[in-house]
Amino acid sequence: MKTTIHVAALAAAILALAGPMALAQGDAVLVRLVAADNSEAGDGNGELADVLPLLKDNLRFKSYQLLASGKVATGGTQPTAVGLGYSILVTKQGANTFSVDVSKGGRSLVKTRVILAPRQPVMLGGFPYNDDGKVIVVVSLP
Amino acid sequence: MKRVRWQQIRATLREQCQPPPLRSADEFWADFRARQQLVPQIADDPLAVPPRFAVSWLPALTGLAIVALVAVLFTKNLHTPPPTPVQAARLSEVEEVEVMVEYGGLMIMQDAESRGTLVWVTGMETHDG
Repeated sequence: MKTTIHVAALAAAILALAGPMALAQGDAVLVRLVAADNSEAGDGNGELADVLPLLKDNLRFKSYQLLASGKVATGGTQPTAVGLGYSILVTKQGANTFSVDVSKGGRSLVKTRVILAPRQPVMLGGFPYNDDGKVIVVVSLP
Repeated sequence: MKRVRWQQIRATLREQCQPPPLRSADEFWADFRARQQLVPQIADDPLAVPPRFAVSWLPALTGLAIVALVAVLFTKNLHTPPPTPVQAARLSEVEEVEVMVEYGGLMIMQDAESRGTLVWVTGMETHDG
């Protein structure tokens, strides 16, 4: 009988610890700002290793450079500045469902709702960058 | 009831059961060697296992082992669930896209090989150069 009580207490303690950890993982998403152009060949110094195959297979830019990277909280109401005048507002709407709003200079450009799978990034691209380049916003679970 | 005395019984047995005649050593060993060359030598012991019965154990045990092995394999297959196909990891999905500025086109790609989802807006006018 005592053993059963001890096991139950241990399980409750584990659940109590695991619960906040699971929630903490969903409190932020990883956002990377990537510049793609044809200036010279580049691959982001390895920091874009997980997304370069997708970019190179589907786009025809010579260079992909990581401009900025950071975690953006999903519970905020104000956009987070990520560089080059771009701001990101990420709002959690479900277990792994997020609304992602990209704006620049206070002007909303693209609003989207995505379901993020682990290690499966979503890239929002096509934002003008210099003369012939584009800016790509990469959103993924941390 | 007439009682027979032991001495009388012994005397009667000696009369009726004559001992075998003695043989010479050469005759004995010649007979021994002749019997020794008889193959197979069948033991004249009623308690001994007949050779035919003893040999039949080998195929019987072999058959029994095969049946047991087949039964074990069959039972194992019955209780082992079939292997489930490896499920590919789910890709991220784009449920909704709304472009708030003038644009030319919109493309959404899910690349299963490169493991990612791409939303591409063409001809986007941000009016800031």
